[in-house]
Amino acid sequence: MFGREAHRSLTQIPPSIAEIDAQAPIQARIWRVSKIAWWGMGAVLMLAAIGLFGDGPLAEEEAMAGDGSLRVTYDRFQRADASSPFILRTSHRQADGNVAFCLDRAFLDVWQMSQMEPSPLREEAHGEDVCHVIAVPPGMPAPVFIKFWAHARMGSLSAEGRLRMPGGESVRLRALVWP
Amino acid sequence: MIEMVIRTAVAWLGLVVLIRLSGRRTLGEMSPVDFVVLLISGDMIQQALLGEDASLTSGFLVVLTLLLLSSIYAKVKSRWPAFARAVEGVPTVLVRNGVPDEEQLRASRVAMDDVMEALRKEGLADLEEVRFAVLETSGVISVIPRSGRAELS
Repeated sequence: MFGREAHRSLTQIPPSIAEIDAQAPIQARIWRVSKIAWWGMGAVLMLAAIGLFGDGPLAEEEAMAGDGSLRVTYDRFQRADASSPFILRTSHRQADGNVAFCLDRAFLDVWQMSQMEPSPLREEAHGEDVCHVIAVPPGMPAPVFIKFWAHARMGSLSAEGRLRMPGGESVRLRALVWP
Repeated sequence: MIEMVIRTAVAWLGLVVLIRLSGRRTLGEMSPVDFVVLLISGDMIQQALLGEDASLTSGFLVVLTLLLLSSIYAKVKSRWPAFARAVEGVPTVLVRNGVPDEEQLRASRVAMDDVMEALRKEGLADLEEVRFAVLETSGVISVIPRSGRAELS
């Protein structure tokens, strides 16, 4: 008698456990979603490694002025509030031998410049544009490379602005800015 | 300031989703590995929320936003239990009548060592003494001993 009752108590499933069993398909669905999500997370990491969020071959972009006076290499994918490099290449010099480039209002609105190599000699306002003048040693061979870092400001998913040499045609820069 | 509130809300939502997707074991009793992950995640997110703003006002604003969000979440959970089940999952039976359910253990990524640890906390030393071991949605394993255990002892 005792044995039969013990067997019944083992085979009888308490209501709280029966309820858990009834909901098992929900958990199975969640595990399926989780598995897909892990693959998704792995894919995001792989894409990040190749530059989906900047700093990689997928992000590299080169833009050139219509007249060929300026070539700019930058990241088309950037992160808000994170510095991103802009590399300028030009063979055009001013009459005094220095090199200058100008940033338009739109560029200054969305990007904030933090550092430049070589350091600019001075900054000049040309209307709404800001021009940076860089001293170049007389014997330095062309082209001249200038590198600056700027971070896109938070607030918009896309950033657009123009750079130009004084008197030259402008280069349009466009970037997707991740929050 | 509104940007900070939005950032906090987005970060909270993103972390909740990531931690939920990473699996239930992360939420229970933390292993040293889980602890390190959470510690670094917290630090990384804190920088993204506040940046260089170290003011007390901003700090409290972030905390206030988080408290409000968790209150809203608790309210939604209590009002729509189906939503809570869909987001947080349901408990999973890992052991029945002393027999481990290998499929459930594998799917929920729980090692037998974790189950045995839960048993020992309940004063049990043998799996045979277990009627049910259930992985709760909180990540804790609850153990229901066989009813005759007291009599046997």
